Amino acid sequence: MGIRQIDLLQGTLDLLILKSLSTGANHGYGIATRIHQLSDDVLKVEEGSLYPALYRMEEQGLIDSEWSVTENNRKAKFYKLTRKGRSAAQAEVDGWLRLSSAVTKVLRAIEQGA
Amino acid sequence: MKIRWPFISHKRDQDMSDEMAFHIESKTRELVGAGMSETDARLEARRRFGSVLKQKEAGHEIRTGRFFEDVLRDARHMGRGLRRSPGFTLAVVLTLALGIGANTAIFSIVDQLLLRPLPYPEGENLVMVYEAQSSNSHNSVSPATWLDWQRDNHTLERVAAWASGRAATLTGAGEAARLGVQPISAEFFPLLRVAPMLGRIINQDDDRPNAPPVAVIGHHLWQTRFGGDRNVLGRFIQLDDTATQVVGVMPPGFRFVFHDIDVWVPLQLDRNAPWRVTGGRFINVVARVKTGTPLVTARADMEQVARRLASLHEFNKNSTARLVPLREELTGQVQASLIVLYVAVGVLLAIACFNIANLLIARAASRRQEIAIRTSLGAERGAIVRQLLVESMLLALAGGTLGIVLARSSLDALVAFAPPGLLRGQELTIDARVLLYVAGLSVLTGLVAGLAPSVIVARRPIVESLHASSSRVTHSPRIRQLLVVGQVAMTVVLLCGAALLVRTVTALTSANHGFDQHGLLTMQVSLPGTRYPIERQVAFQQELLTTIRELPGVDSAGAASGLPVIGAPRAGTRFHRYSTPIVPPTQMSSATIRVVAPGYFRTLRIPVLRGREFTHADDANPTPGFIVNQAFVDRYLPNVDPLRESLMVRMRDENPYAPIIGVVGNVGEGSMRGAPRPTIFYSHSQLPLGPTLFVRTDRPVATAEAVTSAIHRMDPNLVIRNVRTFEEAVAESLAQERLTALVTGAFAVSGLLLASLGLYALLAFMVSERTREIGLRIALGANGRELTWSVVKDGLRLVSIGAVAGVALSLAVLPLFGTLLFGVTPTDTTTYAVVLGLLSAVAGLASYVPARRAARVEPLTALRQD
Repeated sequence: MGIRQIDLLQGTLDLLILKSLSTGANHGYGIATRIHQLSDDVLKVEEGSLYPALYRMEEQGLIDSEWSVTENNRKAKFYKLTRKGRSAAQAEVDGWLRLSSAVTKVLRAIEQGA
Repeated sequence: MKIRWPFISHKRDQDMSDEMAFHIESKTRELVGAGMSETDARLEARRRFGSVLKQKEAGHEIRTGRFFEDVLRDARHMGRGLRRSPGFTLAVVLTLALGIGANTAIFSIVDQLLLRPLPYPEGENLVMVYEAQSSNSHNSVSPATWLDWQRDNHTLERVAAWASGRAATLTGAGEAARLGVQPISAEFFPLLRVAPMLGRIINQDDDRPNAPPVAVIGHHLWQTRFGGDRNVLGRFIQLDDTATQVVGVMPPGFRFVFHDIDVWVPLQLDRNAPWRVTGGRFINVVARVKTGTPLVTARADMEQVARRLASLHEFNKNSTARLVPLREELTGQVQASLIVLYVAVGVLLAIACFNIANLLIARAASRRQEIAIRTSLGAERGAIVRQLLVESMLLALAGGTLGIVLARSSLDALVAFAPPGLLRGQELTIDARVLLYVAGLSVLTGLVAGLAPSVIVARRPIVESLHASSSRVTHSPRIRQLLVVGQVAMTVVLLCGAALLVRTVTALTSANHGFDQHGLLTMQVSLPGTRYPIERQVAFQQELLTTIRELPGVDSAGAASGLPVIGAPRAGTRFHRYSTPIVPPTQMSSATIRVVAPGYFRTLRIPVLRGREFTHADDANPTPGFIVNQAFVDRYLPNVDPLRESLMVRMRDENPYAPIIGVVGNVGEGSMRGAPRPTIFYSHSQLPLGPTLFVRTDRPVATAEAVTSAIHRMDPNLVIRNVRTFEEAVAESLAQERLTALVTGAFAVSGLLLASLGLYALLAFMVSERTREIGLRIALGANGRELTWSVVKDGLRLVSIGAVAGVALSLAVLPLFGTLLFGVTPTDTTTYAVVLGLLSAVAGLASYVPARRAARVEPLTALRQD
């Protein structure tokens, strides 16, 4: 159990969305599926958090949206990174990596010490 | 419930729906692919998604804020906070309840008297019509003119005549009673469009001269005298000894102009009589403007009609038709008072609002850091402002609710205090209209009071607050000081206004009206004309006055037609001086007419300046002559010996010339405020007196009993009314002025208290902020007295600025109410000085208390703080 129930830390979802969009435009459902798959089914994005996050980021000018057609020939709203979003993504990724490696280091040290 | 905000475009909403639909669709296909049934898959997709609606709302929140839910959450949050500080909450709610309650009470009276539709269908179309002349714009109407108006106009649906109420004695239905009777023409009830509850109205057959007497009675009389018996119809009652048949009963609450009318009887004017020749103008006219016709059109039409009449008849020269809406007529006398009260109570509420704004700022200041932290954590400034507004709104609504209770009880108190006829008989209820007003007022109050703290929060940079230590920089002294200055200014206006009204009442009460008001007993006796023709009246009055003069404790006694000064105003009557050229009646001068019995002038101690007053020896004389007052001499007989002049007064059918036998001092008639008018006095042997008795005595109560029983020994069926001293009568006639002054005064004192509380709170706050500094200064040897003075000086500085502003405001505003004043000008220096003195005393006290606290600061304790 446990790990599937993890609530994404505030801010982490934004990072994941930004990163998943860095390879190309996608619709909401696609973003959720992609994060789910890439995390080996560990991270599950709640729809109730996903869309508010998308709207907020659009408001902040990090992403842009337009209606387009999927490969299955269905109309969907596609989100893509803006220039501002792209640089934000890079900065956020760097920050996250620094943070997580630091946390990992601490945890390792404590584990070894114990 | 789906809430759609007007500022979310419908397109955007649709956009979101489509996006959700796509997501659910895709999820469903995924689940079906994993082996789930189509129905289950769709359900699961929806379930995982949460409801589509919820999702959309979340979308709304990002874009626009879920306003209602946020407000509710804020309300719960702030409500808890308020419960945690009951002292603050109680102070604010009580202040607001006072402001809103007083406002509501006055509003419900204003609404009742000025705003509500008149109690007649399409009552806004009803107008009074006067045969106005340059000397009197509210002149009564000649029956001839009334009938011509009726015939010639094009804009009036109906034109009815009515006479002022007269009193009549009712016998034959229980104990004899005095009733108010209103004679009306047949057009009256159809014009008002009010149907009787029982029976019929007075019709054209009843309204012919000498038709059998009939009466329509009021609901109140029907209930009290006839026990609500439906068989009253057709019954005969004795009105002034005339058998009168009851033909109808009006519905409850029906009235016209006067509150104390119980019976309506036909006016029975002979519509073919040559009214223009006999000349009098003595009826009143009410008309209904045709539906859809503007008042200006009707006015123009009637002026046209009047011009035509003036060109045809000598009698109608110099007169025109003046239309006054009935509402204006009914509220004219109280309108000014009500406006004063409404303005005063509005100012009081503003003072209360400022007080609360001040308290809320202090409260917001103490939450400064909490707010700063929340802002830095991402709470939007708008959300914080919204919270503050929600808080003040909560307080205002609580205050409004309590205010309704307060309004109800103060209305009861007002009705108990108010003069009869002003509020009594009015249905002063707190109904849906008034409740709506309270709700609106509370919201407005909440907004106004919450505005200042919100503005401060919205403007202040967050970083500054976070960096500052707990209390510095945070209390927005400038705005709070401005609020106190504003309060003081408004209080000064209220105090000055109230003081001027109080001085008006004292001036009116103590004014010298030309006679000695003290120790003067008065009462009215009604002598029914049927049993008392004029000769019997004279004999009765002569005998009665002689009897009274012999009673113990009685100095002198006299009688007149009504009270001087405060009696009903009388129209002028035309007269002619024997020695001057004969002119048509319309060009003669006019004077006020009074009728007096011997002893009147001596009893009132009105000086007889020339000649003599009437004696009982004159009673048998067919031409006893006239007495005139000094104003008459000044105006019409300036350089002649008045005692050598003879007058003819157009009062009766036959009017022989008679000499002036005396000149007396001026006494106002009909008004306490106007200058005395030229007056001619008739002897009671010449015109009926309907006597008002005057008895000079130092024992009014005992004498009143003795006089009453003396009258009843002479005729047990006579009705005696208004037994009181003249001073009591003056007080009663001033009831409206006194009530206005009293209530305005109460508002002003409340305003003063609120303003001093505001000042006190501000200074106390400033002192507590400066505790450290003050402690340091004391430690360094500062003098306690100097410290006290420095705080008091702060307070007085604010008060002086407010006082200057208040005086300027008073000088600008109070002259607008100048017509209400008597014996004092709106810029009266003494009044202003007294108000400012009172203000400084109270403000000094309000500043002194926190100042003492400053001087008592323990240096060590203070320095250890922080």
